[in-house]
Amino acid sequence: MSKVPRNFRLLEELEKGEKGFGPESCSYGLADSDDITMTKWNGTILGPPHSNHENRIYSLSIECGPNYPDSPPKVTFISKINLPCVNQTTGEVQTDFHTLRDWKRAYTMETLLLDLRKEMATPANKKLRQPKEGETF
Amino acid sequence: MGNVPGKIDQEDGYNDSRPNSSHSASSLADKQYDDEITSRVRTRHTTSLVNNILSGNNTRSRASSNISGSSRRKTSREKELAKEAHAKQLVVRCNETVDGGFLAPFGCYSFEKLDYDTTVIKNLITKRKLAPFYTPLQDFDESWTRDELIKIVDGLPLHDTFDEKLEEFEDVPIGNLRKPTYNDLIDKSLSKKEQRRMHAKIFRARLYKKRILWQENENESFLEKKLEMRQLGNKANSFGDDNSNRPKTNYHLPTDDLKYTLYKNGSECPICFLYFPEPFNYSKCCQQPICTECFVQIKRADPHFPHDDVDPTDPPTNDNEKDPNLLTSEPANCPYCATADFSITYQPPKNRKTGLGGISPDIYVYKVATTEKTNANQPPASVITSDTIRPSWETKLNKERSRLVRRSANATAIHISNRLIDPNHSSRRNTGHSGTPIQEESTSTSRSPEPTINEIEDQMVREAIRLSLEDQDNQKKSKNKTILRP
Amino acid sequence: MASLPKRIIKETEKLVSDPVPGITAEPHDDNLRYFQVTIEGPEQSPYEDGVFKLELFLPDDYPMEAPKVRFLTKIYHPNIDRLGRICLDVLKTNWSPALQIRTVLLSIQALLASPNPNDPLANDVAEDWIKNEEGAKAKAREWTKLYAKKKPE
Repeated sequence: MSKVPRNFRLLEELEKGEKGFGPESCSYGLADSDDITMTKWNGTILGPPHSNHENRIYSLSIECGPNYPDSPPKVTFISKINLPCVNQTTGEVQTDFHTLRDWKRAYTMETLLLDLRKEMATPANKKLRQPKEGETF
Repeated sequence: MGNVPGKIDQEDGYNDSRPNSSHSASSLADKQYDDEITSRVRTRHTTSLVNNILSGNNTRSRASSNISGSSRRKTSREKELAKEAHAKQLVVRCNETVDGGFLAPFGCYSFEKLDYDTTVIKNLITKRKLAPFYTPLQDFDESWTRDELIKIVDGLPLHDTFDEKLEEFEDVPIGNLRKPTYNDLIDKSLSKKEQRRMHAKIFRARLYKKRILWQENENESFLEKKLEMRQLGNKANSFGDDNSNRPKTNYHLPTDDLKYTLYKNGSECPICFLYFPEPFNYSKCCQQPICTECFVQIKRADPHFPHDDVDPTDPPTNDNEKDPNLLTSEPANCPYCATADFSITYQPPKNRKTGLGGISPDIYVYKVATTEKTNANQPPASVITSDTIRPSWETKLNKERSRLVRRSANATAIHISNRLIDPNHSSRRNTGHSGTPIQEESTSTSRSPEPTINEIEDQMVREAIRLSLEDQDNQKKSKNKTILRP
Repeated sequence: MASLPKRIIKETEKLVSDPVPGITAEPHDDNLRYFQVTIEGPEQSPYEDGVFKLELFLPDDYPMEAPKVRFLTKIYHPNIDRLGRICLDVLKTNWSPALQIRTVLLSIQALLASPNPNDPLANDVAEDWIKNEEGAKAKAREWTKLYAKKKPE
């Protein structure tokens, strides 16, 4: 299997995101449609049901550096959220979050967003007190 | 689950010690194998429902859902068996030869793309209506001597090397490949959906590994036979050229004469750039050569909406909104001149007829080109289209259409139920309503178990779905006539 | 599958030994399916005197699937969008395995010589092109000077 280079991989992800082929519980798109390097992305996660996140929409920024997808992107919550894997001052998802720590080339931004959503729904996290809706980091 | 699928694994592949006695026997064995597979599939079809209920592995839910659940598992198991049988048909076997080529591809293209009908292809090759899958040479040098060329051909493998480093299967457990089931490998704490996904992943990983094992087995026996033949060949030489004194090898390995005849006058396929023995298949429209391995790759585009340019910047169009009956798929075009309905013709070689239905390749002796004018006696070459080798294209198209019909019916159902004013509206399972294949997605929106909805609204929804389905069904029937060419 | 298909090796060799005038294509050392490409703007087009960088990737199923190509240099063209994606039939529905990297790059060069605003990818540029062709061409020339300047040799 050949390695799809960064840019073509990001174009694939962009197309999937634009056409809405992915799951409905998260979405992502290019932050600046003029950016030929396709570095900055916006993401949203719909809070999982049966948790304190239910019906909330979380905004995130995703930065795919020049070594993506060999290296994981940098992910930062824009909406305020109380989760152990999220830095409570910057909103940044810590690099020891399992998906980032055990990053694989086959992973995509969608993998990451879905895993973060799962993280919100774990028994340990779903009942965590959350900041007021609408607040940002 | 019984020992039925287990037999498949034991019998073929791992310790394949079947003596490859003769052509007819081997093709017979194959035929038997095919029959066995079908009958096994059939047996499973009829028994598994009973088995599943008896084994009671899912008794906690209501009987009705148990039946529907197990029947779904059964079909996926059937699909897996069919896939495995297909993969087995793609193993290059050294005793299945025609005119010096094989009945399965060398492996220039990925396994996933080898979705042609193997039975059709094998039959066409055996009947000499399609060039066999020859083992390609990466390069050919005019200056090679006979001995050099034979040495190179001797070193050719049956199949290209498999890509062992597939990241996809890295961490996937495959368990004991001899065991037919691998349910014990699936993490039962996962959600049903995740379990299904894991199941599919393990299946693919196992099949990948099995394919390698099957082919390696075949390669090994190929190598053993080659070594044996070389020893016998040395002996044979000491007997002189007299064939009657030659020890009977009974193997399907080509003589040096055959190898030389095959490869000294080959040429390059204009698509894969690999060097193959002549004669090639030729495009009917523009008489361009194409090797069989490339030919089986040419197929219809997947079902799509007309003039769907797949423009990446188009606003996302929801396929739900389009009429499923508009889905089309055109026959493949000629890769060289873009003429519609790509088809090829093949004139089998005149100077050799070996392998299945011909003389044994190990007694082939090259004769100087026969000068007789055989052209007039040659039967007209038959024409093979891209659709011939993938006869299932129409089923595929119709499947995709009905998938869209179902999806839009679901969407309609969700849409209508969302519009109903009563927030406690329950969407009870529509199982009792025949002919409306409502999938789980549409019912998963249910919130309250209490049916507080008034009957009229409920009925309206069902009626709307039924009408929509009926309508689309009718349209499909009439459209089929115009879109699908017979 | 395991190694690079012969076809790709042969095409690459030919691209290097017998290059197309005005076009270069070189594989990356660490990924031989990934090419760094330059195309010179055709004469008498708004892209004249410009050198455009592109990237090209041969997917696993090449040549049964078309190469993937994208402009890396900003370009004002009705069939090329802001991310450098190209709307060209041979890259999509009209791809044929008998075509090659060479033919694809030639087609892209031809697309620079004759833009097709009636089958646009960059809708705003196409609109501009249809309404005010001279103005659009002037802007294309301007962008060529700005972003695609030839390096002094």
